[in-house]
Amino acid sequence: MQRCYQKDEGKMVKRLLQKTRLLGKNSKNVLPVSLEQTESKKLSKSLEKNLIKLKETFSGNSDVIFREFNIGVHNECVPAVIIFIDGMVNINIVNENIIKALMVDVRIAESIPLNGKKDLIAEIEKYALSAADSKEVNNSEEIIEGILSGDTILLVDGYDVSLKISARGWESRGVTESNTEAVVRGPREGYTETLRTNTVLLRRKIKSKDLIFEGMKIGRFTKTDVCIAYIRGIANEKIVDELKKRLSKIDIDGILESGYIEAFIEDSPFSIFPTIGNTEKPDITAAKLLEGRVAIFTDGTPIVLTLPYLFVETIQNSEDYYSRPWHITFIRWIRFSALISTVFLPAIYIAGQSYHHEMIPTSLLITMAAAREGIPFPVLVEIIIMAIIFEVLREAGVRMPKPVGQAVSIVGALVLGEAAVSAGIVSAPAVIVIAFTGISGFLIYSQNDSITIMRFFFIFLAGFAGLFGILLGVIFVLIHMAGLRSFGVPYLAPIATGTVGDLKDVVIRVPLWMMRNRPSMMGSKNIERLGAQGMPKPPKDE
Amino acid sequence: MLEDGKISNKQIIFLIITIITSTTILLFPSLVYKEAKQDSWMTLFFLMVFGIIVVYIITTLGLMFKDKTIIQYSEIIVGKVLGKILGIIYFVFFIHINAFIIREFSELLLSSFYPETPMLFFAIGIIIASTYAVRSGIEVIGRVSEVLFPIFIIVISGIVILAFKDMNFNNLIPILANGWAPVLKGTYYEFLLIGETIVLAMLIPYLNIPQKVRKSGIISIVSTCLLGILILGGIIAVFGEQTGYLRYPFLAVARYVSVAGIVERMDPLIMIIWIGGVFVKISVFHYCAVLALAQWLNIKDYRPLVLPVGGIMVVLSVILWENIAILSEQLTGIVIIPYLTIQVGIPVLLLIIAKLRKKER
Repeated sequence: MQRCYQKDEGKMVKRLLQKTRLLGKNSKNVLPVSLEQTESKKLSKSLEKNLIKLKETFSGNSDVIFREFNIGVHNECVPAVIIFIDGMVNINIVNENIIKALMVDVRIAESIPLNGKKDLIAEIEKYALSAADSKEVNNSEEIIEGILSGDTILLVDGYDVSLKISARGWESRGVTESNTEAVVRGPREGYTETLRTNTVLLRRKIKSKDLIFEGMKIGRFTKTDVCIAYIRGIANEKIVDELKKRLSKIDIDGILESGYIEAFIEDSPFSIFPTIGNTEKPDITAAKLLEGRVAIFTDGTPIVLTLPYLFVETIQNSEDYYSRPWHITFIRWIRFSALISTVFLPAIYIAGQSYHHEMIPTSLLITMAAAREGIPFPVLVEIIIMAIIFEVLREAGVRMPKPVGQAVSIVGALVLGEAAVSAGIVSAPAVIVIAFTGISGFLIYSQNDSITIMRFFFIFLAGFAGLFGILLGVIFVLIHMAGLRSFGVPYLAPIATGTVGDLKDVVIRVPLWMMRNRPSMMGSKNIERLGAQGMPKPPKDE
Repeated sequence: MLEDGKISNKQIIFLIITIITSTTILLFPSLVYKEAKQDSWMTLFFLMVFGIIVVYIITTLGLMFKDKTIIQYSEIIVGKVLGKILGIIYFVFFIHINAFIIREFSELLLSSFYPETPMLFFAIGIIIASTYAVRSGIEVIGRVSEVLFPIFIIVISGIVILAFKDMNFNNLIPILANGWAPVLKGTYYEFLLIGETIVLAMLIPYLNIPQKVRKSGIISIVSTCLLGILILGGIIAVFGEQTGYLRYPFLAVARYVSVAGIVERMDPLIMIIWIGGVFVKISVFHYCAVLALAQWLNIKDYRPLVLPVGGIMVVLSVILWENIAILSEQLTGIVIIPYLTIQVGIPVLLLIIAKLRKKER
């Protein structure tokens, strides 16, 4: 895969970061040596010894439960222990299917003769244990990991193998409507914080044997379960391999959110544009997988990453494909104009007011000049003040606790807007410009990080050099975007890499029965996604 | 080969059309009008023919050495010493033509929009942008042009179309009132615009499919000339005799456009788009200059050279001409013959010698 960023700049920046000790010099920080590494890993045949070792490992923890019991009748019983963490297991299954099955049902059914059995564990697993998911484990590292993940461990006296039974169950937020990605028409389910629930939500969308989930654990302390999802045969193998390579290189204390993973695997860490997309809804993920992308699920967060991510995805929305084409084409154009206006409107306003008066129609010019009568600040300062106030309001709206909610709308609208204009601190056109800019920004929230920065960048350029400055800024941003790649795919594809066929989903949205092929820039080998059915027609009258 | 970037055929077409059109509509309409009067738009037909010939020569030469630029294969054709001399000539040529372009565009901005700003500001600003582009490689320049091209063409054609109601086609007649001579003289002034396709000689190694370059080149020449006819014809139709007195007639047409009293005096917006086109041109010539120097000196990485070469261009653009009048005079006078030699004459010679040498083997 070709690289487009400057090589010597990269080295210079790296050396600079190393000098200021922000970036380590390939140091392999040694973890404080944990107990897991010093102990011998094998279990012993004596239950006592195993118990002592495990109790020592979990010493100090009050939520690890050791339940000792006997399997079998009084004279023929075998001591056993189950270990689990209170709250992380489905206690019904533990009670009914593990403890009851082994304590009571074995006695009643006499399914396994207990004396002198060499392979009691296998017998238990096959004949007595009525839990669905169990596995033999014989090293203490896996045992400890299993306990910490919510599994139940069964140890039996006289055997150096244990059973790891998966009977997980904990309190979690149920599958609810996603608030950040709302649709009018379309499924409303959003992911939750549990990995398994999320993968199931995706499996329900794509019931194909080619949907592959590859799991791994990342993070020294958090051991977060991370899952790569892709459709074998559609996704580009190279991207999957490259992704696996990058994920295996992550060496960090903990992965708390998918954003951490994003930061470690992205192509251009210093760019303001995200090259990895995210979503909270399974139908969006399914659609992206069907186009050839790869998804990354992270345990503990409902945000799923999708890559490669291209700039055009900013104006594409899942609802687009559930509604009718003409309307959606129109909405796409609106979104695109919103993108332009949210970045450029304040800057153009400043440029028009300060440098290029001839651009504004005469009557409007007079109105604006009258509105600006007596305002103490130049246009640039006015717009910057209003833009910063807007950002503060927006951030406050997100973070504040619900009871205080009303205050923000009142304070924002009435006090800052109305009163500031009446007091003559800012002019009404500036308020209007910033308000419209802000609202347009909400239309394309996925690029919010880059849009805010660009807005300020262009505001300064416009104040400094008028339209010429804006133009230079546009050229800079364009050059930057043209050189960005997301896992080998150019960021500006398909706008700037000219496969005209792919444009059918960018500037317009052609009806679904016209979308014969997947986007070719994903590099998948399986291009056709539509059979030969053509346009829907009413049946001919006979 | 100094980098792995590749441009597609569509991108090279866009690049060449942008390159030629962006400065054609700057100064040339009035300069040509002084000679050919109302038949100026006919000069473009001859230009098309000339352009196709030039493209043919340059691409034939370039295709003989598919992965080498003219700097490299001139050494092969005429020997090391002469080849090195030719290399230096081309390097200086690219710098000089870029200085011309930067000066033209700075003068435009200065006189029409920013009278108080020092000229150095525009030159430095555009060269910084061009430096970033050139450092990112030719692929990035190609992609940026692909994004800017549709906007550029739509806006420019839009201006001409919107000015339709102000057009008086009587300004275009009588046709050929003074015979063919003025038309041919006008064409003569425009030759060096077509010669700008010499950038093909530097860019052929970086094309995706080199074999198609001839077709791409011819498509670009034809499109450019058709667009030029539209624009030039439109300008003359709007202004008639005044065209000769306006320094920037196209800008004047843009100022003239008035739709429903709202969309009027849109020239700053036009300026933005136009400068986008000029930026593409400057960055391509900047790239060619830097590439020429790097290949001449046999350096592995051309990136350290970009900023110094840019600096030279900026300085030259400021000091070589005192004012726009001298620049226009040079443009239609002294500069034509050397430029034509470099852009057309030398490739023709190289082609002949190369073919002869091939026959020898």
